[in-house]
Amino acid sequence: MLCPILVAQIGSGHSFAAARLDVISPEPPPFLLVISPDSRGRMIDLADSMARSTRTPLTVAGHPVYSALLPVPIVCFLGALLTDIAYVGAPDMLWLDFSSWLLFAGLVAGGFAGALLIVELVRAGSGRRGALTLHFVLLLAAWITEIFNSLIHARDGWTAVAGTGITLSAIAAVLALAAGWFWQSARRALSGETR
Amino acid sequence: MNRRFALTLALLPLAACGSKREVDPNSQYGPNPVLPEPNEQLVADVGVFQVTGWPAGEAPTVPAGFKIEAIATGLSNPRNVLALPNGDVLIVESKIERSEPVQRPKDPIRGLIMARAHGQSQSGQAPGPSNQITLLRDSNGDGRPDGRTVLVDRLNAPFGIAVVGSDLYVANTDAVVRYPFAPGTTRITAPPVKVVGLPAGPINHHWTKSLTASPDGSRLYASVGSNSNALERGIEAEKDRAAILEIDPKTGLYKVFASGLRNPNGLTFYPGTNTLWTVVNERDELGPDLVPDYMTSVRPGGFYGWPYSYYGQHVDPRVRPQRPDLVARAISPDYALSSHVAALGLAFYTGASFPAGYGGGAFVGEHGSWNRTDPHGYKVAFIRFQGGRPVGIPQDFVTGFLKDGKARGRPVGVTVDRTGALIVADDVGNTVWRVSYAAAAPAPVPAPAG
Repeated sequence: MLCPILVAQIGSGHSFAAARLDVISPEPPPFLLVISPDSRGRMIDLADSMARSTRTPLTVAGHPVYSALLPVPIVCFLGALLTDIAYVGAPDMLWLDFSSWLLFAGLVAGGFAGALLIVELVRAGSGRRGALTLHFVLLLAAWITEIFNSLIHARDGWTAVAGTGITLSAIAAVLALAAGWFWQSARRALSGETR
Repeated sequence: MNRRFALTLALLPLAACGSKREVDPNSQYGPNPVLPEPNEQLVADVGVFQVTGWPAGEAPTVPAGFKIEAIATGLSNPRNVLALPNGDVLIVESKIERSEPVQRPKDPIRGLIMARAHGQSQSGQAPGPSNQITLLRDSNGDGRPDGRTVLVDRLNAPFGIAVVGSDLYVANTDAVVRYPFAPGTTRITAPPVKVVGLPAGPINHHWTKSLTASPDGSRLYASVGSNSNALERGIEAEKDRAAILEIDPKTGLYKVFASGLRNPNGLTFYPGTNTLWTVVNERDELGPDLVPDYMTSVRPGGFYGWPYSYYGQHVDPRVRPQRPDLVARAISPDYALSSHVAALGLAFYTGASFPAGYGGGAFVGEHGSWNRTDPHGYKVAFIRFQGGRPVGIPQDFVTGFLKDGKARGRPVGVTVDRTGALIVADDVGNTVWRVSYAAAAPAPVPAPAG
């Protein structure tokens, strides 16, 4: 899987954050996932409801990580719905194998994305968390649905898909697409930018 | 965002969870077992037990009047036994080394569960080389072997063995091979001659190939288990599988003798007849009480359902496309042994030293369940026969393999020796046990050792 070293600088002390910054500044190696501090070099904790300054998303070498990861579970979950439809149309086990792996890949990538999203939620502070919450809940609902769907898809044949399996695939695909839909507005609110 | 709504959305899939049901185990014995509706659980019932091996001085439990002794310990996964007329006992030690290709994410998880159930690393015994046949010799006929040699080694996951005249046939996982074998031989040096290849290949899910010879010795019968639980590896993977093959040992030609038998083992002709019997492991993951494993006589050309149906016309909902033409002629087996017992060994009692009720009855080695939290099997069961047919419900004959949630051993192959004692292979216990009747008559005059 992904192997960046996550340097999560979540602390309330200014000096601690500054000290850690010294370690990784000025040019962090590209394999380091740096959780960028805010403009004053300060990290925000969950209880810090007063934090309202502008923040940027988590980046790797200057690129937002979450935006890159988010499409993977959405595409995988949608793909699993399509291969489920193919299986129901012509029950060849190959389609069920595809669905199982797509669910698995979507859950792994979605798990990483979700973990990042929780960090972003914490960083957003209570003031702007609202914009992210709808996106988060939709993605979480899709992910949990697919956990159950994976167990259904582990059955040995027709009952892995027909009925419950394909229904869960459809529900999760809709939830994941909706999560992607609401990511745009959430991202703008999060970054505080207008494009 | 309304928090309650968010929670409801997140927990919605829980509504898909199923419910449990109970079936009286005694209702799943005999010719007409109770078959509940399939219950495909969200997470299949799993009950596997850490393998600890046998503490010194401990042994399985046998009924009053019988006694049990280990006649060989420190073996490496003994899975089958064959007692010869001269008193020698052959022990097939067998291990499959490779793992199946991963087809779905569930496969490695399933593999881990099975490895735990078969694990010997924690048993405290460091098994030596496996995939060999060990010969035990009891030259004075007192029931305790006084000689032990490796008869033949470097085999490929062998299971079935049969002696016909001066030939020893071994069913490796990929072929039936023949060795010259005069009674009394303790070491075979001749290279094997391949009689016929058996389905193996990269998957080789059910790898134990059982073997027996017809009473006149003119035909061999090899069982080949399925490559999947319920056809999930595709139909191409099942060629000549879930079947018993009839082999002409002279030419190596074979034909499918009977099919639709998911994982048949313990091939044995009923004494004094030309009727072949087998014990069959039925399918998993339809709930803890489906599908009962069974013992059955095998009709030539018979089809017994797998994968399309079980117990006659009970269609497996997982298998598509279905084959109504095959389901229509699926034979319901003779005698259910209850669900998931994992019957792997079968021997009919041909001795005279056990009490009268045992004559002609069947001993079944039940390796034990994994697809039930409440374990089934893990014992040798006895089923009485009348007029060549099984009657009544199975009686526990050798038990005590499970104790305090740990597996000390698991029985597999069974055979009846020259003195009428029952020999039991215990694979994870790395032991072969001998059960004799305490009030038995003195052993017969020992055969001359060779």
